[in-house]
Amino acid sequence: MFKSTMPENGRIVHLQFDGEAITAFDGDNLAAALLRAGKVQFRTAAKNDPRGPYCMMGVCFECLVEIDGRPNQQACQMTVHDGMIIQRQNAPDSASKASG
Amino acid sequence: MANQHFQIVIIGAGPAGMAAALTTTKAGLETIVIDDQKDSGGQVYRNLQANQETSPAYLGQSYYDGAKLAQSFADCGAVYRPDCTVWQITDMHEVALVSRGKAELITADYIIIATGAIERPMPVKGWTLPGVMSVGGAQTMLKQAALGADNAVFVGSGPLLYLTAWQYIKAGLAVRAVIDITSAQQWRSAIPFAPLALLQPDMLAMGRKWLGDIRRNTEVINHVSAVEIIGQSQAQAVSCTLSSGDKIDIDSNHIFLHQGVVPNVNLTMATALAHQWDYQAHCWRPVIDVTGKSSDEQIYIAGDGGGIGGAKAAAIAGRLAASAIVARCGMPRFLAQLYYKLRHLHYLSIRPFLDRLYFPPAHFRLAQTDETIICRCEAVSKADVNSALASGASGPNQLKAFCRAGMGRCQGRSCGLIVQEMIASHTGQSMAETGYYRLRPPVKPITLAELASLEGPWPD
Amino acid sequence: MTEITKSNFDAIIAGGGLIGLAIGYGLSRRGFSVLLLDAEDTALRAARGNFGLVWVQGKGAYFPPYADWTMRSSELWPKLAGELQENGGPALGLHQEGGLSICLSEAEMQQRYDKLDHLRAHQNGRFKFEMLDRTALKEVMPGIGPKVVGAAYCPHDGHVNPLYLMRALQNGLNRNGGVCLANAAVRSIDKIGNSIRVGTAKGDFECQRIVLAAGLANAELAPMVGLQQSLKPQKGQIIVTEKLDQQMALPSLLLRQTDEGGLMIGDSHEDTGFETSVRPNIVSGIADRALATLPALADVGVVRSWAALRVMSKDGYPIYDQSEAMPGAFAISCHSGVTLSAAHAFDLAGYIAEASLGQELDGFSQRRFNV
Repeated sequence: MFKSTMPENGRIVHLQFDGEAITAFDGDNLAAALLRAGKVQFRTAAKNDPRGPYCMMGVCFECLVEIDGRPNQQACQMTVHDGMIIQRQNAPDSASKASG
Repeated sequence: MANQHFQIVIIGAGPAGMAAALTTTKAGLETIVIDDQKDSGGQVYRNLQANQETSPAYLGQSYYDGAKLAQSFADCGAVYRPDCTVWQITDMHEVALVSRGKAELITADYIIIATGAIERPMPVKGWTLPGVMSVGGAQTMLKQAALGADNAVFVGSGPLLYLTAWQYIKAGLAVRAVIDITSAQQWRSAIPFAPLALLQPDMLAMGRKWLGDIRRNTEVINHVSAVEIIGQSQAQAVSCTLSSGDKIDIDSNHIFLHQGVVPNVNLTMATALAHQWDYQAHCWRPVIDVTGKSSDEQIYIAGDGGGIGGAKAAAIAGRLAASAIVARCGMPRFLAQLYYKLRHLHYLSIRPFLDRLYFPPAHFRLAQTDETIICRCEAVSKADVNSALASGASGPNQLKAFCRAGMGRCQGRSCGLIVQEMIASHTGQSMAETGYYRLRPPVKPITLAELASLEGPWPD
Repeated sequence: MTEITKSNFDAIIAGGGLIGLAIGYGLSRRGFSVLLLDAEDTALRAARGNFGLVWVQGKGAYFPPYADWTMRSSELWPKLAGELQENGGPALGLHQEGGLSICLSEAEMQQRYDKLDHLRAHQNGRFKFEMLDRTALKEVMPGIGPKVVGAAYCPHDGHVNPLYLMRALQNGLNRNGGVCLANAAVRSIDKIGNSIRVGTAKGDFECQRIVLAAGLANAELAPMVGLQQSLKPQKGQIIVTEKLDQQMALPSLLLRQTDEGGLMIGDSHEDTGFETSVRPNIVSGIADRALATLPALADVGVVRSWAALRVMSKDGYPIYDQSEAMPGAFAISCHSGVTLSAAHAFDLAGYIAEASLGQELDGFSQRRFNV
């Protein structure tokens, strides 16, 4: 359970995550805001390969989401804004792996 | 449109970059500092200025020690470009960056690369599950968003792990357990270097405080030899094997992993600077002289990116590199350089002890089960890598060609060291002989539109 | 690590790129014992920089033997892919459903047409192509931008994953008992009685056939067997994007989508010697042209780029030679290692096995430059 360690205050902003309404505070880091709302899975790397934020500093590229229609945004590098529409990003159907 | 030119281009606004800027601006050199985060401070002083308003005590005094540096940096007169991503440094000392969707080239007389460190990967089964994060990630959440998790389990070893677990406890979060992978043998190999570590008694005292508070506030499981994370759509539990052979399962949705930090060499390697394998710290580092000058006369490296030393060492390294450059610009800085060199040595005196004590164990540098993901970006498993090795891949680049490990967005930051370890183990070559991925720009992804937006003129 | 227990092989191949691997595989499937010698993991390695086209259109427009040879290889490709996969190699992602050369101006269209028409003229109906105007092209590539004028479509063209091809050839070679030694660049080649002795950092070996397939390094190796190969590096830069849903059904000369979903975008032809730096202005131009072709790619991320050196002869055509001073010694180089893999694995390996290149490949000798 993600939990705030300081009293929560600030202007509330409204976001959408995969169609679900969630709230955050103005100026929040997007990845943190989603985690605080209980959303741990941000995408899939392939079928049955769920992923979420890992490093929180922009080097692992796990926290990729689609923001306001733009894909491959690193949530941990983004700040929320009111009305932000976020979609989970799932691996393209064409993704296939050759086995050897 | 002409490219901008600066005498000094500093990449990274952590302690090393900020400190370097203080020295170069004081000497009157035109300085620009480029950083990919929205605020200065790098990772160690992440969100420092905002946190000073509320000052959560749990972040600890060393964090707030960075406040003076951050304030001085804000006042020093350097051009500061946050939220900019550097994607290449060319052989003509042009720094290619992207800012707000547009690419730019900035030319420099001298470049100081201060891009810091990243975590050493810790490939355990299930480490890609949502809910599993690096300890650094957990700490950044705390600094950036005052967000933590209840019932978290910390797994691994190293000062950052103990510090973060301590910060969690001080923040009032219930830490479920700390699973320590340090072996008794590592203590024995580190003890001879303890006298050097005594040169930094404050660091040792801090470490003892962290460990003491951790022991009093949570379950500590020592000498763990194997770890697996269990779960389907997210982490549900962590299973660890004790030195006795017994297994313990601990339920948790939040598993934080850590086995040390290593220099972030992606930019320095893509810039074709010389690197060497550091046997003591078990990682790659750029080849630099005592002032931080790289194999390129015009490029210096300061801070953890040149070798792990921590925040204070990084700030001194920034000062040292900057002073060397200032001297080369006709303003000698003999005494300052001497002072910085001595301080730098001082701050590094604890490293031999720490590097040995928290040396990553072989079975945690290599994955232990076939299904463990090695390359996270391309979902390449240990079995896949072994198959490529069996097909005859004898080096990291051939292996990359055979199975795609290292081809994803992170450019090997998460898998490079693991792959190197596997190849060395398979071929019997040393880590140095095995080598690393050949890194190329862009060191972070940029879009086609951003790339296409670059304008001339182009120097021939 | 491969432990070498023997020092005598039927054939030694110097060079572990696409040429060496294809010929090595081809000889091994004919029962030859093969030793393949490769340089360091970080050597120049044109093969690892390859774009992956199995391309026919335009090749040999002004040099019929090359057009014939290319067409032959293209026809043999399915056999190669099938055989390699049967041998347990990875799926190669071979598609031979045609390819496009996209034109952004009328001048480009005209140039392209002239070249392909010329090629058609000497191919006796074997070579087919069609110029597609904008409307026709839109049916195949709905996303083309306003600057696109049309394209040349050739049904013989295709593409494949060049890295998996290397792995598959390596796998096939291993399966047939071939031995590969890394970090074992050739230092000396001498005639010893009826055999040839090859000296390397990892020891000396003897063989009946030595095939020099070391790319640009062939220029230094060829004289060791009494041959000459005048080769120059020609730099090409490529960028690769992250994976996407299908954007392109057919490959084009400068833009193709891999089976995994990433787009490969090229390219450049630069004369800068032996350096392989990625230059921002060049890749910017490459990105620009890609966006003119498919504007919807604007927000797609570039995750990798590289520069590789094409192995270029004076006229751009392959150089195939056999030594008279040292019978059994061959020097082979070209810059179309993917397209010609099938011809190399089957036909060329056959000639080398017989120790005679034969008339078909006469026109490819270095001698053609001594006119």
